[in-house]
Amino acid sequence: MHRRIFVQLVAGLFLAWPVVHAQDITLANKPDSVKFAAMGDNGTGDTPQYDIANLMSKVHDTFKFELVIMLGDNMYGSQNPNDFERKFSTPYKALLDGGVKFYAALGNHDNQKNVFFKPWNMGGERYYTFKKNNVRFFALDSDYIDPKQKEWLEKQLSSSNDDWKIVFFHHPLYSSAGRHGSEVDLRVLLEPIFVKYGVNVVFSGHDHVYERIKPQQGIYYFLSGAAGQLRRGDLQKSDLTAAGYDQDRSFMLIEIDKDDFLFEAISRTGKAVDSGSFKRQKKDAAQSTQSKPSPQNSPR
Amino acid sequence: MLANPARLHLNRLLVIVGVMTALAAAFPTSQAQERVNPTATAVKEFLDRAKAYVELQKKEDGGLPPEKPGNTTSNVEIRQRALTARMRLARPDARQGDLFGSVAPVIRDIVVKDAQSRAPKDRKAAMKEVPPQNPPKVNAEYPAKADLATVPPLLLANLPQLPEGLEYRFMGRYLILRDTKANLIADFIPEAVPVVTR
Repeated sequence: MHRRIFVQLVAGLFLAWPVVHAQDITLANKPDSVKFAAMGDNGTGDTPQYDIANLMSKVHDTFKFELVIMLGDNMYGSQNPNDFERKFSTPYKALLDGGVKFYAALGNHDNQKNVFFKPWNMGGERYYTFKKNNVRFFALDSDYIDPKQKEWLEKQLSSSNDDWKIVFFHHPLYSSAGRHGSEVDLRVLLEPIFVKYGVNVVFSGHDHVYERIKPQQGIYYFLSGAAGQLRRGDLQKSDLTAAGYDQDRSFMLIEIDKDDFLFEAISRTGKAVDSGSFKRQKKDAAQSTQSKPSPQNSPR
Repeated sequence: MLANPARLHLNRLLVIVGVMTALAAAFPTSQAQERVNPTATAVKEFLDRAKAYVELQKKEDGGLPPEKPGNTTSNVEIRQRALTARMRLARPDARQGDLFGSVAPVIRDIVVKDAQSRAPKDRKAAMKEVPPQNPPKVNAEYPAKADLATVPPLLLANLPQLPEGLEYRFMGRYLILRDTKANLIADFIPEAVPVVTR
């Protein structure tokens, strides 16, 4: 009797455990593409964060993303050396050992001193930029967008001739979640700059759900704030929502292959809860029109 | 002999002009004072004090090992604590109002107008993550466990722009001037934020 229960338990565990194979990833996985992951609100140190981290390293076995962008609230609660171990270095050890680089943006729960935490590659700055092939990333500190940071962003964006301009920061310009929702103040300030300088894609966290926003003024917005925290059922799908998921933790995989942007949002069980692709926006299109998502953009 | 009316009129005009010129010469400062904008003066004086504070911060920072990225932030913390101690020693008698001074009502007015320009829902949302109201103390550390709640960027754009090393933050209804290098409360304005139902 006991033996049967044990067998059932083991079988149950195998069935429930997320097994991600290469064939599960719908991205092109081309050798020369830029591959990265995005996750927000992850740093709890709790089991769900570890589950997502394990899943990420499993995915990494077949889909070799080189970097992870962290969308803020990278660490909750106390932020002492032990916490850096428990809430970052241990869960992501396999990825760190595999040479994956992490690039963080600060959230409202992050201590400012964390800009000096070397594995987050912030170089001691609250806002910074880096480049990977034809893609330039801009990390902002949306907790404190003072005129100086705004000026810096305009300067960096205007001088960038890169094919893709990707901006990431904590607070979402658009969100249909109930807890926080869209940061309108930030939108008034940043969106005109994004449009003016041809930003292609924006990633944020803060609301503990996943949401893909319908393109706004030609720009694609992703909210990925559930890589550790979760506010189950908080997504109140609206006219803004192209796709969303709020039933479990999640993270994102992205691949940029020349003019193609491919994405997939993956839940803790390894299920793709959203996926799709789009072509790089034409400069003038990004600046003046509302581009339509491609048919592939619908959630599966 | 009757006076020529035109000449009489001219004489009167000359007398009036003469009196006005004499008055202007006698009270040159009254006109100059009218040209001074008291708000601009208060802002300028505040920014001068903020600049002096940052100069002091730089001076006290000198000699400490440079901040550089590491695999833990322990060194940064040790360094920050050293700077905190130095800044406290350098300003032992610092009091509330030392830095803000006469600009406090101007800043309070900017904050109130900003709040009034927002819908009640947005006003509430802006204050949602502000740490609860604890009377702050000048030269006290900003509490390690308190979030650094977002300061609305449109409000920031309207406040006097601070030099690097100082920033505005909210704590309850107080507006804090936070020393970002030493993590100290450099000054604060009480009741800067209108009452918001949490």
